Amino acid sequence: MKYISQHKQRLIIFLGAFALFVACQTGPKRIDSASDQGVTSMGADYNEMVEWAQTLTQRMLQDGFLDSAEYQPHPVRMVISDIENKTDISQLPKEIVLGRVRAALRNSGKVRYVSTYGSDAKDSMTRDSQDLRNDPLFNASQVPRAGQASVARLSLRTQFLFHAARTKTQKQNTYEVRMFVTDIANGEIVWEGFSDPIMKVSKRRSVGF
Amino acid sequence: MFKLVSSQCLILIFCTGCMTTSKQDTVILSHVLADRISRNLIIEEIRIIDSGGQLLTIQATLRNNKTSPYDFKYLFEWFDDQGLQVYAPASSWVRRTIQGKQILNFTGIAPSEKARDWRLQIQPWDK
Repeated sequence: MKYISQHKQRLIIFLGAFALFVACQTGPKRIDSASDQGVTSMGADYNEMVEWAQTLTQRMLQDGFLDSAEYQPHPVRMVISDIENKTDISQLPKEIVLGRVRAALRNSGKVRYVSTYGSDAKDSMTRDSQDLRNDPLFNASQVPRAGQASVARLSLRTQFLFHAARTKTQKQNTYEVRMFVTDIANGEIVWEGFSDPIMKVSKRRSVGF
Repeated sequence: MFKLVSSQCLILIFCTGCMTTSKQDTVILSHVLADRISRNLIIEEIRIIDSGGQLLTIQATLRNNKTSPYDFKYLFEWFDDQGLQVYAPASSWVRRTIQGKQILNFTGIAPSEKARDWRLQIQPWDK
């Protein structure tokens, strides 16, 4: 009986300490997105995706293909082609990368995007507006004339790539982004580039018996 | 407008612009803010490409004088001719590791032709 009583006492102390520990945990706090305080996962983290966008945009602009005579005068029209996710992250927020690449290229003054077709950042309003021509509610003269929508000259294709390696004690995940630009006029690839790879290593949990 | 970089930075400039050599060091130094990084990390060169019709491009060359790797991050910021910061949609701190005794280049390209001035910040990366 004495043993059980001591056992209960220890259990109560343990539970009390645990409750106190949980109560003292701090709640969520906002951190600076540029700081190094963010969570580092084995996947591709937010800051890393923003870095990808920056490096890919810079590599595309630095290459100079957009400045060639074929694509003058600026801006040249581009459409977002297929985006493949070949990583182990099923819900990879591709728009974090693609959106920034698109915004940065447009901001450079060298590229303008077509949103009527493609795989990302489509806007159906251009097409939908045509349906308003015969709707008595609307002023038909304000509906854009047929044949005014632009066809892209360049197409941007994106692949998110992944490689996994593991030993008995460690595992490594590597992520990178491949992009290439095709000239739709002739089907030739006019630029191709990779982001810097993001490599994550962690110790694997040992199996205990 | 810009803080001065620490005196440990040795900067050699190869500039396609039109600034005179004697003033260049001061001008470039005032554009680099790197006073928190290790003394063993040397900014060896800042190269500026500012030719007409091209986006302003800056390339920095770092050298790690130690044999151990060093983690750092850098950020390019861009300003128009009135000193106002130019919005750069894909701008972010970029994290890098420079290996021991390695020389590493990194480049910043202005987000648009509005950007006529720049600032480079380099800080330690607290992994």
